[in-house]
Amino acid sequence: MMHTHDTNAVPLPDRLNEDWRFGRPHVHARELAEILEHAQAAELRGVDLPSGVQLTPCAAEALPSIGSEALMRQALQIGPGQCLRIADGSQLREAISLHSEVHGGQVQQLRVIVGAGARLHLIEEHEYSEESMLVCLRRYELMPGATLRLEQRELGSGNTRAFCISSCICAENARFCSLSTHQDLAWARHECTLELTAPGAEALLLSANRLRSEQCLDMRNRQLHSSPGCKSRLLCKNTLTDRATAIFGGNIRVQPHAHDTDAYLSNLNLQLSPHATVHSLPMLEILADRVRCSHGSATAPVDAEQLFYLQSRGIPLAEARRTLEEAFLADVRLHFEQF
Amino acid sequence: MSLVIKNLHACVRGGQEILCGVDLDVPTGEVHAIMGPNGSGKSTLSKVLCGHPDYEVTAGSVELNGQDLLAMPPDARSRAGLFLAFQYPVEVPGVSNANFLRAALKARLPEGEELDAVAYYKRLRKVMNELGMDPKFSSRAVNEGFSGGEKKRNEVLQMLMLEPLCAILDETDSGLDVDALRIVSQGVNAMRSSFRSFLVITHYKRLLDYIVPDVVHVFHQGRIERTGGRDLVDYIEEHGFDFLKKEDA
Amino acid sequence: MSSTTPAIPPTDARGDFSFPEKHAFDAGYGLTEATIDYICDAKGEPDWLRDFRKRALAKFRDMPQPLHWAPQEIAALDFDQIRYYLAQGTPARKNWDDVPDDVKRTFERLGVPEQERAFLAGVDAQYDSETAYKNMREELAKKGVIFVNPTEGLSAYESIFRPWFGKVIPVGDNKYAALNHAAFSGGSFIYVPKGVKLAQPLQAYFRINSESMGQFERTLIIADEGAELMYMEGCTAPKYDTATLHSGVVELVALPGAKIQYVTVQNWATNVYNLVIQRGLAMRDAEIRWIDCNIGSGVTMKYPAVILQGERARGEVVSISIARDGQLQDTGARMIHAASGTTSNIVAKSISIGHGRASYRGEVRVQPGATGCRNHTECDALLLHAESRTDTYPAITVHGDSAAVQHEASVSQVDEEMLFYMQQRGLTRAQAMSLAVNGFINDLVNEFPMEYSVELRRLIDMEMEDSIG
Repeated sequence: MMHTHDTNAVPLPDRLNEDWRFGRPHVHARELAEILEHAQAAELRGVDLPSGVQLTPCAAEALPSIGSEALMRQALQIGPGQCLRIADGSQLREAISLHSEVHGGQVQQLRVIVGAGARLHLIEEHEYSEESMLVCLRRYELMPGATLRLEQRELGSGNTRAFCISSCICAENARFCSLSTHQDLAWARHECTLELTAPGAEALLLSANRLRSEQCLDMRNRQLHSSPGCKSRLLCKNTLTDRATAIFGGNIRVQPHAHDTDAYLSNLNLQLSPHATVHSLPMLEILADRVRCSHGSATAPVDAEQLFYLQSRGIPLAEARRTLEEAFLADVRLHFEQF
Repeated sequence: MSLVIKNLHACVRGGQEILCGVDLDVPTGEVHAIMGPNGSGKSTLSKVLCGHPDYEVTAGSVELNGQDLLAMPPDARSRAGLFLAFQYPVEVPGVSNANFLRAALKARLPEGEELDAVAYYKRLRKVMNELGMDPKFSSRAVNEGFSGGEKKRNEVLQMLMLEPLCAILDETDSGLDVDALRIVSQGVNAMRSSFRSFLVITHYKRLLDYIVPDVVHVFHQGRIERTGGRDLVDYIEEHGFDFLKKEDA
Repeated sequence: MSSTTPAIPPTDARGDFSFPEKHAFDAGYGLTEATIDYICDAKGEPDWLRDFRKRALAKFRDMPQPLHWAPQEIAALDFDQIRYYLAQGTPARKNWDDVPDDVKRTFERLGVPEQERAFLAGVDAQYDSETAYKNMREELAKKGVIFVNPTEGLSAYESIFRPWFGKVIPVGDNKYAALNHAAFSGGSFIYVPKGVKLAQPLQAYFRINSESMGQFERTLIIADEGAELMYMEGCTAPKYDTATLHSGVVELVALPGAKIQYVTVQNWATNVYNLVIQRGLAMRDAEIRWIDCNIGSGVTMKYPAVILQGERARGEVVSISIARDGQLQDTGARMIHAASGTTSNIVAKSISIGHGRASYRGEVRVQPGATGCRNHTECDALLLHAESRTDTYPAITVHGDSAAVQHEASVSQVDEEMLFYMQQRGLTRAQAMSLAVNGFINDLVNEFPMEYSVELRRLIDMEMEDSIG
């Protein structure tokens, strides 16, 4: 639900917006709106695009967001977007890389269409220069039988910020897997709506993030099952040191008549600092029976027994902690590779 | 040169005293067995020696080859030459056996020096082969999803790789079938040498048929109650630990 | 007690009767300063309380409905169509024979006195706004146990009552807290002195008899150091055409080492808005358990909370909800870990039948500086029909690196193979379903006192007969 500020023409998410719970919208939304006023459209560069792949300018289009509709509408008005189209049946062996460098305040719009039966491994990489901010709107459309393996890497540096709204729509028997990582961003908000619209569609949403210093990562995900017989999985893992904050919002929504849904979401946080904070909001909204839905959320420090075991073999404390931190995130990558 | 424990007192952090004045001297080259009824504090002794954070030492000293173990954190104790084969080896998801051992070996090298990876893997495979372990184990996460016997074998693998000066085997025989017991014992026996000592903690005689101790101690109510030779093992096998109760009375 | 006497009305039908109203006091519809003056005059309350109520009324009017997160159904509540105070005008009777006949018949139909005679340590029955009958065994009184209504509590025991009144749930906590502070009447005030452990539960019944009646009972329970008690409440109302509102406030204070168990079995008629605030404060080494069962009402919003204020305090919520056609059970739990070494546990199970909707809403929070805290939360939902709905809305906040907080939730349905197996053995589908549903909540039902659990099972049987058989 949207609440309007009297003082501003742009309706910003405020404290009463449940999709921004714990997200300090009163701090971030206003800044975002200011940045959007001066932002430039950013372009993605495709590296050695093979045949059957086109990257063309395309008109902006609205897409579902989680609590930031107004901001998104404003972002859509800045510059044209791009569309990456993979022809039906294309089987691309090599991964396609889309790389862009972010300077100042930029807005990027990307639409990816994976044709029927096509297969694509896409790597999107944003490299941020100091003090830069990116607002990124992305829409992925998977036609029947399409497969998309997607890596989203946000490579920040110092005081950089990212605001990404993604949506992914999967048709019959489409398979989608994404792995998002956030590195060295002072603040990042990541909204992702996944919609499974026809039987046999399957998705795996993965994210692994190491948060340190005062960084804040605010992730919101929605797994929307609007058709029967679909499967979705989500695994979001964070490790936190220093004064970092991780916010995770996840929602499995099973629409009426979407029977035989199989959905799961899991948010796991490893707390490595007495000053770090975790907020976890794993939600379920189930409007149909004959479903298998569950979720889990766990936040815990490093396992003392594991730590002692490593130490008992001579591994120094700091390294033992680092080893366990890496191990905690390691399986996320593995899931991606196995998809 | 030896493991020397003097008047060691320890309690569960903020709780009950479990070790009540342990005196023990294990000279290098010797194998000592510690036997005792359940709950006598045998396993606590092994954990306290390695510096487990759940326990607090309230009095006493422990030296390994003249180094004050109690002043060191657990990892430094390990690098000083102390090894514990855990009664319940810990699962460490996400860390492969090979990487784990490599990190442990690397921690023993001087700062900045790198481990010879080729030589390391070669040696790892050789030792695994000796222990009858499938080479695939090296890429599996430490102890994760291992059976009880596999875990115990993995402990012995680590011991052979890390070559400690003093090794404590805490109920290493539990969960092992006869074949595994023989292989594990062979591994331990192959390590016996004039510069290494062993402390074998066990409830049963079985393991001591394979790893023959030089000295046998009986642990009871947090301290060593009696010390003797191999014949003490047979006495306990025959009469159990009841003689300890009679002494109480 | 006689095994044939149900502790709670098994269906709406049992509570669905009413007697003609003949109230000596009736504050009319709507809540204004004049209503509050009327209540204060009728109850002979001191001026500080009158001011207190009026300040609360101002807050209530200022505060918006919490529609940004709450179920939208509460938007339909019209506070001007509620009657805020009705009373017979006679003080609570200590002897059952003195209770007016119609009130007595009501409670007899609900089975109150039999239980009291046979089993319970004390009973406090509330009829519309005020306590109609209460009794407490003499031995309890001798031990210094106080069990009175809040009006009597604040006049006769002000030095114990007032320091804690409105402290666990402050007036500005939310709109309904303010409403209750402004309009409260009836409820219980219990004080159990240091070290006194009550072997038998104390019990209260709440009943709305009159149409459009709002019931705003107020309960404050203080267990002094090392004291232990169990308190049980049951609620019913007849079905009227216009909605009625039950908006109680329950505050528990468990001083160091004390234990409080609070059991609620709610079977309001389906046009009752049951919007209740229950919160406990657990000091060092104290324990508070909420055992909560929601069967009735049209809309229930209730999230029993424990503020773990002292070191090593423990909190637990055990919750069962059953949502049938037209019902919304929005229930859950809150655990605030404000001190080190505190532990909490939440187990919530819900069953959605037909178009019913059951939601779990919860909050677990580990405050900065609180070390070594533990929470485990488990929510399981069972959906019986294609149109049934269930939701889970937890919010977990963990500061620091020493807490272990775990939340699990799952949604399932009755296994068809299992039903088939039972049917093959000769059970009807309804019987099989009933067994399966009972099995689903079996471990939690055992947490309830015996006569409640027997009744709960019977209720599920009847429900399965109706919806399947």
